[in-house]
Amino acid sequence: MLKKDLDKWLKKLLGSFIIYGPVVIKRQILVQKITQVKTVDYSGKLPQNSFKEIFLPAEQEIITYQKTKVETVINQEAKNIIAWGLNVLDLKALTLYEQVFAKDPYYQARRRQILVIGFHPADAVSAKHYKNFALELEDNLLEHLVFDVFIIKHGANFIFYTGTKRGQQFLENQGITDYQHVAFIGPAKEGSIKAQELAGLISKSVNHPVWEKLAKTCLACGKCSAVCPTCYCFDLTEKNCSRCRVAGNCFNSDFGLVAGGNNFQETIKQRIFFWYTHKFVRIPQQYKYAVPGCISCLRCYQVCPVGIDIRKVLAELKKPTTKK
Amino acid sequence: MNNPYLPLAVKILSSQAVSADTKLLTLQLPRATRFDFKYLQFIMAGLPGWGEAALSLTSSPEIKNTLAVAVRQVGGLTTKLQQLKPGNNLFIRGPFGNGLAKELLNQSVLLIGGGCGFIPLRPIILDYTAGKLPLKSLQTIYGCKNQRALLFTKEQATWQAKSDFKVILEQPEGSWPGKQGLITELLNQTQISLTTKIIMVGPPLMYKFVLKSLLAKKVLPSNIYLSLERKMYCGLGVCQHCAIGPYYVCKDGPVFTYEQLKNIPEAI
Repeated sequence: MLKKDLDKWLKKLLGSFIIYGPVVIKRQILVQKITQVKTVDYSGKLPQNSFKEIFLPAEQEIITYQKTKVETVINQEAKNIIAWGLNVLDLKALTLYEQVFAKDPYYQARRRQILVIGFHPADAVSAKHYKNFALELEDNLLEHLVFDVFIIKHGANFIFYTGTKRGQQFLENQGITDYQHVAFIGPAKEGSIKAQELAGLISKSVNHPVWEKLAKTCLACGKCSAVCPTCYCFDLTEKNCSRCRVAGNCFNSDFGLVAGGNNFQETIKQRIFFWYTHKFVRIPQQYKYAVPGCISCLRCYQVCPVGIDIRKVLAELKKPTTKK
Repeated sequence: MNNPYLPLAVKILSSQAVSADTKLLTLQLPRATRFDFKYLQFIMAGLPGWGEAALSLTSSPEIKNTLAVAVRQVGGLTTKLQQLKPGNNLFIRGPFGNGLAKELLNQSVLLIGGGCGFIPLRPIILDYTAGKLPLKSLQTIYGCKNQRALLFTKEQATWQAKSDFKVILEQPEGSWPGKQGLITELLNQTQISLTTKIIMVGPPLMYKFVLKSLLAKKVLPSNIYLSLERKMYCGLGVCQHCAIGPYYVCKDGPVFTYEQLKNIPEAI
């Protein structure tokens, strides 16, 4: 398919779906609701924000209750959704959500409404050219990513792949029959060596001076967690007679505060260590080193007001220290 | 798909004071509801508009149609819970956590409870003194601030008659015929064998001193079980609030051996 045909097709889809994707706004690439086909970005560069909120809404009603009746609330969107143009790193994050929320009725209901279309401009950036420091990007990458449809741009050509039956049906319904099917064979080979090394590094580092040093510069603003595609923690809150699930943030001062006053995440040092432990120890261990706790997108570094660079933190941890 | 966030409405059967600030709520399970649980497991209990809190189960797992929790007044929700009357509804999820069961069978067991940490230990004493839990022996040491904070005083005579049950108060008010001091003083007078399983529940400060004392007595870290308290929302190992190092208190805990925790400084 050529670009002009792709644009024409996307324009048609806008009539029947709510479509989110990378859009160029004032020279910035942002994941947003697509309203105009010509603003969609196909450069392959990472958008400033991730697709997290499309899959995990920042606030979601989950149950209602009256005096004796308790009911599950599953709010559906008026129209089906297309997540358009996810790059391979953000698809890695989606692959993680699929594991974490495998038994979550709210995630699953929302996911059923979202068709995922990945995109990669093979001629512009190789998957290996992302500033990757924490991932193993397999050669047969598509087999390890979750998507319904994947579009690869080769020169002027947009070539279609499908990853699910749903993707196949969707393309067929759209009159697109020229595609190849790539069967999903699992998140990744279990036991990623890079992930195991990082897990070992972080879990042994609690007394490493780097945490103390970071605690002196970190403002605990929590922007890194908000922007991070793999930060999915949440709080449950009450609203009238509903219980809601809202995005949490482990940099909030009350994240570990229990009734009675004990605060288990009292210091900034504890919160930073907690953040790294979640990404590099808990996520990989919980999911058998098959999904990443960090997708190497560096969005945390881009939004950090004091310029904390996750790559430098990991590098510092790898250096031998005297104080152990 | 089963929804783990959807609570079960249960009726309050009775509410009775078991100390100056703690009430024992007995809950009637709906007919045909199976609610099997293990020692030291907990539930998430909530009320519309007030959120949920993790509450220790304090009844015997042998009792199948009712449950009991003991609620100390510490915040908004627990104040509301204390005001519940028989017939009112409470919304619960669970049971959560690993709990203990077969680890204890036919062992010499020492229970160490501090303050309201005693609540989840009560089922072990209830079952043992009722002849429903085969242990080699059961010793309990229970430390509390004063008489007002002392829980389940009416039941203690039976426990003393049928097991080795000792109480120490840190700052007794008025006349107190029993022991006065810190729980470590009782611990130092307690015989612990190499194979004794020690189950303790109490505040972090108690853990620090008791652990020091136990390790000085050469107790193996793998024989020390302790239950941890953390903030939690989901109970499913997802929301992250209760995480400690590689573990989730809601799922991998709340009971950990000291062996599991000894290299995690933020745990205790």
